[in-house]
Amino acid sequence: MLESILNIYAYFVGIFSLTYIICYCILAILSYYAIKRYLNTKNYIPNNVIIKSNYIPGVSVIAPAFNEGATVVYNVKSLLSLTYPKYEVVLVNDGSSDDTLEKLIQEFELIKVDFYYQEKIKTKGKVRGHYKSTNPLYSKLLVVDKENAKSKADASNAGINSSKHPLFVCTDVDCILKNDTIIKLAKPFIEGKKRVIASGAGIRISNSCEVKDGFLVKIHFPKGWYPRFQELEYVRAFLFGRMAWSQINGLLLVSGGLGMFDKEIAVAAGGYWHKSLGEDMDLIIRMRKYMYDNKLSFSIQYIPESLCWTEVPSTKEVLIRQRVRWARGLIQTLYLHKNIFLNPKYGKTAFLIFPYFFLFEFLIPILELVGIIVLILSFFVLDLDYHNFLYLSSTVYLFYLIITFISILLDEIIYKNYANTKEIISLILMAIIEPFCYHPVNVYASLKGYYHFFRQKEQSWGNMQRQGFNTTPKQN
Amino acid sequence: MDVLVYYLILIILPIMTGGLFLLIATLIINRFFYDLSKPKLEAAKSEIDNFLTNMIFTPFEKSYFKTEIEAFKKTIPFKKKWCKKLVLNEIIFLKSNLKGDVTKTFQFIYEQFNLFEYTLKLIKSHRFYLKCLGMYQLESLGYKRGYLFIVPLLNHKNKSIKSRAFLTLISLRPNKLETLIDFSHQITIAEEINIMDILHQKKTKIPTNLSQWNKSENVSIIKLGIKLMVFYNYTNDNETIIKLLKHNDKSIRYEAIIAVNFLYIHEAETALIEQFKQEDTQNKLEIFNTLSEIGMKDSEEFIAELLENKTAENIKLEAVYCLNKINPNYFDEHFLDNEDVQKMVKHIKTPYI
Repeated sequence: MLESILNIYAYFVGIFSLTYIICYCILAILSYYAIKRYLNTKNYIPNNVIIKSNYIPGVSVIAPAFNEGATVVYNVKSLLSLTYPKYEVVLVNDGSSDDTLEKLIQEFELIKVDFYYQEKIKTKGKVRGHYKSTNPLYSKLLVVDKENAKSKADASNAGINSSKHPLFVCTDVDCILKNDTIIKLAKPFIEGKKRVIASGAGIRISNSCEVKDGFLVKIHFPKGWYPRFQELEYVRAFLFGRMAWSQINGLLLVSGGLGMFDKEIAVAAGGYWHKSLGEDMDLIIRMRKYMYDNKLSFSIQYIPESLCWTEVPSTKEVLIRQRVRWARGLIQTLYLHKNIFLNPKYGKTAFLIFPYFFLFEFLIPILELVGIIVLILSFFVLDLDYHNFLYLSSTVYLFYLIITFISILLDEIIYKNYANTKEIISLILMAIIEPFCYHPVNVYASLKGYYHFFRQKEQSWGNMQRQGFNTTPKQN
Repeated sequence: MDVLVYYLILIILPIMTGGLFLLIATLIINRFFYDLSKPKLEAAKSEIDNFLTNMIFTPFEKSYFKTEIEAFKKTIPFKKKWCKKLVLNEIIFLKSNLKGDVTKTFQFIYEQFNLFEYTLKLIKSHRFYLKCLGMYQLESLGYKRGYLFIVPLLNHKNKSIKSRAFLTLISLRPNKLETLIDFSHQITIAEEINIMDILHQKKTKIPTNLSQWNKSENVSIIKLGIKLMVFYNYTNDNETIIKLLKHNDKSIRYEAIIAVNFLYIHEAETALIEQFKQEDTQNKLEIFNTLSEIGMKDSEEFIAELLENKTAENIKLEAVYCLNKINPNYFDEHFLDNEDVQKMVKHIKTPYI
């Protein structure tokens, strides 16, 4: 009996793995075409033409901040120095208990203003006031002070409500954006033949980078083990997964760290959901749903360029906490929008993207756990064929390595983000050990996240402990 | 299962392992050679920079320039494709960043380096992006001799090539905009932005048939025509613009509203007020914007009525802005008991917002 169950299981896993590998091969081809298309057409409107033009849409950069007193001034200065002719920075102080607001008031000469605040998207935390600078140098800055509602989504919504331009960028205040980020994210909105409702770009790791006054001075390869593993993950996810989905207009996620959105559609879709732990994915799904419901054609595009540098967890504990939140966000979002599944009204979102996310994003950690249990059972109860097991595992392992190395190669050929051969070799070595050292931690965190979801454990903003940056010495 | 494992061992695993080692080798070798060639590339770039800057700031003398360029070619690996590319990019960079009449000098340098041939190779290439790159080079340098090579591409089946040819042609012959009226393809927003940039840079003459553009069957030509009217401050055809406020196409009406604003067509006030109810939010907001510039008593009454009646929340603030701009004292005596409007008044009167 047990043997026949395990046989069925073996066939299931075999078919599942084969489908997974085929999907990844297709994604690889799609990703290649998406990157090629981008590189071939990226100079269609040169940046300098956009900078000079009066005919481009305005953009609001929204950055929620919670207890960021240590770095907020530099971060805001960095955001204020972006290159784009028509933009504002909306910083949302999400009820910080430190001196975030005081520092902003002092540095940017802010005063409280009679701002007519319209709650186009309902927020849980009450907006206490709006601040503008009396110094014309900082006229692009608007600070929104609100009560904390234990939700970054709620803070972002308050920012959207206070913004004045038709497009908005959502980012984290500690993210360092490349100078031409807005131009590059806005380009798809200008060039798109269909209505572009969101655009995103690659995010990289800033942990070991040299940063001066909120500006990236020199990019360095991360030093710690965990940031290095995450570097691999990010390169793979952005250049491989997201670009492929972008090619078939199948993106279900534009990172919370950096994304540009059409405000009209985002507001109509209800903005970010304050209870969501995967608010970025949730918003995109709702925007997609809105477009389908109203029979409007749309497009969501990704740019294969790293435009944003962010600090990632450098210790196992913080990493697990972050991944638990992500996993919980995934299951929460899939559950919340379960009516999309195989619903003809939602086209490829229903029949391709959602099933993919369910099978290959949500289910994988569970299957991996089941796999380990089966393996242990087989060891004790059955006569396991170790040779076959070894061959099959090697195939999967080699496949994973090939996918990872292709991503690194693409990144290396196009952008040369790494300083020297040593860093490349180091990345190769990290990739080789990743499945044994890093992946189990991720699986554990995902399962914990699912468990928390079913137990309905209380959720929070997700306080990320920051290490700070390598700062360059101040010049006299 | 056994069959699968058999094929795994015999075919799949060896191929994957081979592929993996190939990938690793490519990654390392690619980087190694990049590191090796980087200093050479940087040195060449610096030499090219210095040379070109010297040449540009030297008074133009044909034979001297010829001799200098020939001598310079021998100091860099000019026969290499990457070096040609580098020289060309530097010429384009300097050309786009320098003001004054230096076009002829740049074009002379371009010719002496035989770079026109390189550009032509790109234009004749089968790859669409190389064709576009070639055209972009001609456009950036304002190299009019390239005109003849562009014309056949105007009817190319590839949209990107067609579009770039169209832009290059406008750039090379900015005083022949009249021909645009016969253009049949829909001009995209990106093309519009590019065209307006070209016009700003080249300071072209107004097309003689501009007043005919609004009769085109191509919506994008009508829109471009309105934009040109604004650009040239063309006020001879105000009546046409007022008529276009009632055009069937929403985007044309939008352009016409903006034109009324920039050309200060006061006669359009009534038409704008009449049109208001039929418009969507974007056009409504633009009407407020325009009325705030040209509006008088009628607009004042119209907006006051809007504020009294049920009006969508998302446009109310703009309405208050508009009314305040038409009559800065209006809210001193009106809507004093309307708390919501008073909040908006405070907002718009705050100097820092």
